[in-house]
Amino acid sequence: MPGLDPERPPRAVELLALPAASDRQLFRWMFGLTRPVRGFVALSVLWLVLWTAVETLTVRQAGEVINQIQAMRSLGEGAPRAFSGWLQSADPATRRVLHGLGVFAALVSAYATLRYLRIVADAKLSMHMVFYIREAVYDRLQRVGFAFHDALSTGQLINRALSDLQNVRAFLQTAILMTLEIALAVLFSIILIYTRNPWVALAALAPLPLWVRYILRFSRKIQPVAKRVMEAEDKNVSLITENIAGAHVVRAFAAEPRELEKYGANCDVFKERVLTRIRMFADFNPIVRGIALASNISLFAVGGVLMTRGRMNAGDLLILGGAMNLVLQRLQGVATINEQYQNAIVSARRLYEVLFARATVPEAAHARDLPAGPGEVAFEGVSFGYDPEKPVVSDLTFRAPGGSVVAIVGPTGAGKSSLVNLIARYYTPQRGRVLIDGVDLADVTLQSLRTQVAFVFQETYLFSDTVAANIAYGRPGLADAELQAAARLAAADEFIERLPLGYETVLSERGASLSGGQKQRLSIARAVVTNPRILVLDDATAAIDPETESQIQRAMRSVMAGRTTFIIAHRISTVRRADLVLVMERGRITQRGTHDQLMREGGHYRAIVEAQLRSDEPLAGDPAASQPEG
Amino acid sequence: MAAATKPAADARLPRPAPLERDEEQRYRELDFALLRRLLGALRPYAAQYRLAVAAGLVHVLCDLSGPKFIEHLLRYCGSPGAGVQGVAVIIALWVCAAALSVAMLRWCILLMTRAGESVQFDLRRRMFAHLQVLSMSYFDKTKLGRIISRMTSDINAMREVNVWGLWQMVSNVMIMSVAAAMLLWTSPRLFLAVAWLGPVLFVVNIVYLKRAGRMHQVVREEFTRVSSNLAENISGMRVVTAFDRQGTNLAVFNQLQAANTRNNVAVARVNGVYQPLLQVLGYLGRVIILGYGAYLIAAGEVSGGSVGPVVAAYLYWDWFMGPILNLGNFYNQLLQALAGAERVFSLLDMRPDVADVAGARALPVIAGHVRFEDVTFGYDPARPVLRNVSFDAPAGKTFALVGATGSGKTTITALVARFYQPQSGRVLVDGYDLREVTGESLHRQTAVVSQQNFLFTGTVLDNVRYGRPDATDDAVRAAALALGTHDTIMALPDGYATLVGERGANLSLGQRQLICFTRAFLADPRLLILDEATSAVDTATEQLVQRSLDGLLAGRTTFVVAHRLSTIQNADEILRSTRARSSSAARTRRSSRPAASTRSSTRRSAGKGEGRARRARRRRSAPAREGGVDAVEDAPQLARAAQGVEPHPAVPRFTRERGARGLVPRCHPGGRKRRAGLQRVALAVELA
Repeated sequence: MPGLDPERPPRAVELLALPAASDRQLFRWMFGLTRPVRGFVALSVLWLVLWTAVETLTVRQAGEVINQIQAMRSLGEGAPRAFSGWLQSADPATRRVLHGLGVFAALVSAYATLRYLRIVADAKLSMHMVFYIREAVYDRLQRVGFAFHDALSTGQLINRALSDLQNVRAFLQTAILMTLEIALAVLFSIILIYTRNPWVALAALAPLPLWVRYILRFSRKIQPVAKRVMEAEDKNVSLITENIAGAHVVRAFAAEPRELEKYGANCDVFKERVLTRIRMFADFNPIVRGIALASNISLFAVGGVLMTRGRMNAGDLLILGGAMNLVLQRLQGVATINEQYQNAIVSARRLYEVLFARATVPEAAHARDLPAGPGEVAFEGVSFGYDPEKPVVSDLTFRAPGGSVVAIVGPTGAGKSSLVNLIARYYTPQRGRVLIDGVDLADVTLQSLRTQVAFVFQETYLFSDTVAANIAYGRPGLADAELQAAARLAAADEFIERLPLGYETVLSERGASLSGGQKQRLSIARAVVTNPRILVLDDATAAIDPETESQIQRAMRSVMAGRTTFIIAHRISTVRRADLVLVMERGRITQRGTHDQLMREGGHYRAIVEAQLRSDEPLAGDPAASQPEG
Repeated sequence: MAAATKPAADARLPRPAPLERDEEQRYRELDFALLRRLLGALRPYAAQYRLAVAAGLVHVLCDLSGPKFIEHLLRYCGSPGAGVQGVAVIIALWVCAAALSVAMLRWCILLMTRAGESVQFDLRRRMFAHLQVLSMSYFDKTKLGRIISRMTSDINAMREVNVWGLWQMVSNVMIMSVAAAMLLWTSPRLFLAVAWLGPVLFVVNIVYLKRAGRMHQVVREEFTRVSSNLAENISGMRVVTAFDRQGTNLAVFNQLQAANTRNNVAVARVNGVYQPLLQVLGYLGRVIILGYGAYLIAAGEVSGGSVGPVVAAYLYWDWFMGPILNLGNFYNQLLQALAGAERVFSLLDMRPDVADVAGARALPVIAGHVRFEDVTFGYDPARPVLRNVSFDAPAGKTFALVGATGSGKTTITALVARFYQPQSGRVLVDGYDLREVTGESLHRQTAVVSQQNFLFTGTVLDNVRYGRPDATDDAVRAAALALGTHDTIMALPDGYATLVGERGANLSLGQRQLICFTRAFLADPRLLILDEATSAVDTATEQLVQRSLDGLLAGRTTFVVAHRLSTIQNADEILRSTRARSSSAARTRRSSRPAASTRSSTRRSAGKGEGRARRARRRRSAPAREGGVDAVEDAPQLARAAQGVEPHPAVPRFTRERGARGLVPRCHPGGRKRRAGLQRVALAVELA
């Protein structure tokens, strides 16, 4: 059905032939990401090792002091003095206690200092890693080409650059540092316990694998549950979003009760899933706690028995408890690592797809700058499809002399936008050549090409910046005079000057404060600022009211002078002034010539002209055309 | 790399776009009224909370008995003649306490989270229900993202308090006081030696949290710059590519990233100072306990001379210190939750502008006679969009509204649908003032098809049925057939079962539009509003839509807002609105010789500030554009005129009444041309 088959980009990501990788490759690749920040990793690891060691020593020292206190008691009986006097006591046992306390305090200071160093080093590692990966993603996204952006939604891409990146970063950091921390804590604690009593060490070590298994099993079990909660939450949010975005429809159809019902049903499911998750955690937390308690108690039981036999001191028992604590505190980290791994592997794939996406418009190795010229555009047997299987335009051949105005008309989906996109090489044709001033675009640098071809897109996109910055987008740092000249050329100067801060007005939410016509004129000004050789005006006036449209048309006429201009338009009033009219139907040029020639010729062009005449536009005596400028 | 090729761009890098300040969380003091209200939301679950707290207390007490068991164990084992049996007794008791503690913990978690989540879901439902009541004006004024964050992040911020707040409060205070009591009981002098550290710890922690809170705010704001720069450049990727800005953009982005890095590292430095500092304070307590404890033992102040009490005090100190830090963190969370609660409650407190008055009647089945009586309305009451507008639209006819952007066309339809209520004047349907009827009864008989083409996630069938959920599949099919959209729907990948909306197949504008038309047709409204319904579709699609329109319009009162005039051709009447401008000028123009005088007056009014463009445009299209002429003409001609491409040929033929309240134009039937047997009448309404 003509007109109902939109010129829409293919949705399949497969079209991009995104790079494939196995989980193992991804895992290795992820670790490779730390290579540029090796120095920071080394530093973080160094502080971590020292910190964990000092922490263990601190625990040990506290026990030692207790032992010394116990020893002192049996020695220094019967000499009650003031506290200050006691501090200066020459009693060797007391001196040992005080010395032990001094060591303890020194260890604590070292511990605190190392903690500071660790926190700062970790933050630096994390931020630098994020910095350079995000930089790479950002640049890749900027240069990968239109086809990639057609296939993935903006939201998806933003997610990749923000949350996927964070997932990978978080995993790398925990995978390296937390794993090391757990391993070291276990190792040091076991050594510490071993120095006190090897059998107790064995007893303490024995249940460790069981705990790790339980925790890992739990994190595996909780994942599908957590995922279901997240799904319900997503659904909940999208219900809200739809309800708000479609508020006018809801109101207009008096559908509020049904919306409530729909939302209520989702809430029921959502809550049930949340409660399921809660029930699992209500089991998990007490069990982990129970395990910790049980191991602590059994350690004290064994220690107590050993103490009664005189084979262990109170301080030793305390050291055992402290060392066990060091391990137990960190055991839940195993669940975190596992969970982060699962997230990271999904995110890593998505990140990988961006970073290794092949440029959809690769620049040739021998590419040179586009030489100066009048701006003649030639298509030679060009075929192109977003999906190579389904060409959108086929066998396009035409030549537009420098400085001419070319109008392209035809129904939606005929391939008009695709044609003009090929002029700036936003896509590469599958067959044929596009030439500017006789140079094949495949042989020129993208930068030189794109500074020579300016676009006014169908959908105006402005940045949330000042009006001046938006106009000077293609030439940052442009002088004010040039800026205003461009605005004048685009008939935008008047309304800009009426804005609260003139050229310095910041456009909120991408120009939401401006009318469609104003935005359009800004984007025309933006296009002419670069003084392009070739100007492309993609059908810009479809959804604009007639008043604004005539303003825009006037602006367009003044900027077309001296450039090769391509105009996509529905309105015959625009088209009839063109030097060359190309009529496109189903991806082919079916008619070409001037307005008058085509009117004589008959066919689609005449049909649409007559249809428009019948419905809304006059054919002859278009007064706007004969109106002198100024 | 690209940045390197453009050193000039680097040298004078555009400064990053100014940040649009969003409602960031400000660090504030505790608001007790708000807190009371927040706690009020917990009341329905008071019984559950009470049980949970009780269970939690038992858990805490059992847990806290641990150091006491260790003390006894050490004392016993250190005494001569200690045996395995004694150890076994102590351990067995300890195991019992631990088991009870774990069991109670489980119960507490279950009860507490269940109650808390129930509060959360109650809030969600209340918010959603309230959103259904709020007027359209709220949705116009408020960004979508902001409403969503009320419903998500703000409610989630309250979660910590709703679910764990009571528990945090009660358990920490409990642990702290029990630990203090135990410490006191174990050794009063040791207690006194370290107790002063408690307040110090608390104060340092609060200072730290405040400072960190402020810094985090800066970090968040700066990060917003990073993410919004990223988002903008991804969505504006075409423009970025077209203007070859990659190098510059990357440099700007890296500037923002560098700032982000700096901020985060600065926060890390603060964390790096305070967190160890808090730990050092904790360790200081231990050193004091060990040192002073040693002295007490040396001085014979400890009963039996056992090291046990010192160890117990050492362990209780940990229990005492932890809650102080926890409470500080909780205080921080509480402030965040209150900030969220404040926004949530302010949404719940918002009164709708348009609501059914007390005693509003249900509108009976209407014929569809719409009448505006001296209606004045502005989205901002200070700046009316419509001023003293009156017209009469008899039932069953089609009315086209034409005019420039911003002249109030859509506003008129929004008033008909009672999305808004006029500030003065009345809108009547079949003689009923819309203020006095229920919104529901009006909306059941109204359908709107707008340019936005909004479809809900779901199948085409669901969407078509939206206005009449009880319609059978056959009824839907029959409606589509009658309207001529059946073939289009069947051509979709899965026909009526095709998924549309966010996650569904991308439908073209035309396809979406036809589904919307079918939806409106199935709802079988008495009043139909088509707002720019076809402006974004191409000529071919429009023809298809046009055909279905004929079926849709038959027998209903219809208001059509359009730029494309083909849509208007079948209108019975055309209401043309002009932008409210200097009204004196507008009135002068309405002279008996419209063409000439309009031009001259336009020239006059086009003063210094007005440039060439404006003047040139006016010259071309002045009479039609300025709306100075009340003309009787046929629709296509007016259409052309409105397109700004043809001088206005018509001569005003009718008289006007200038009532005390404004202009009430009278419609004089009798256009010069007739087509398809339809009478075409133009009616110009000046909205000055």
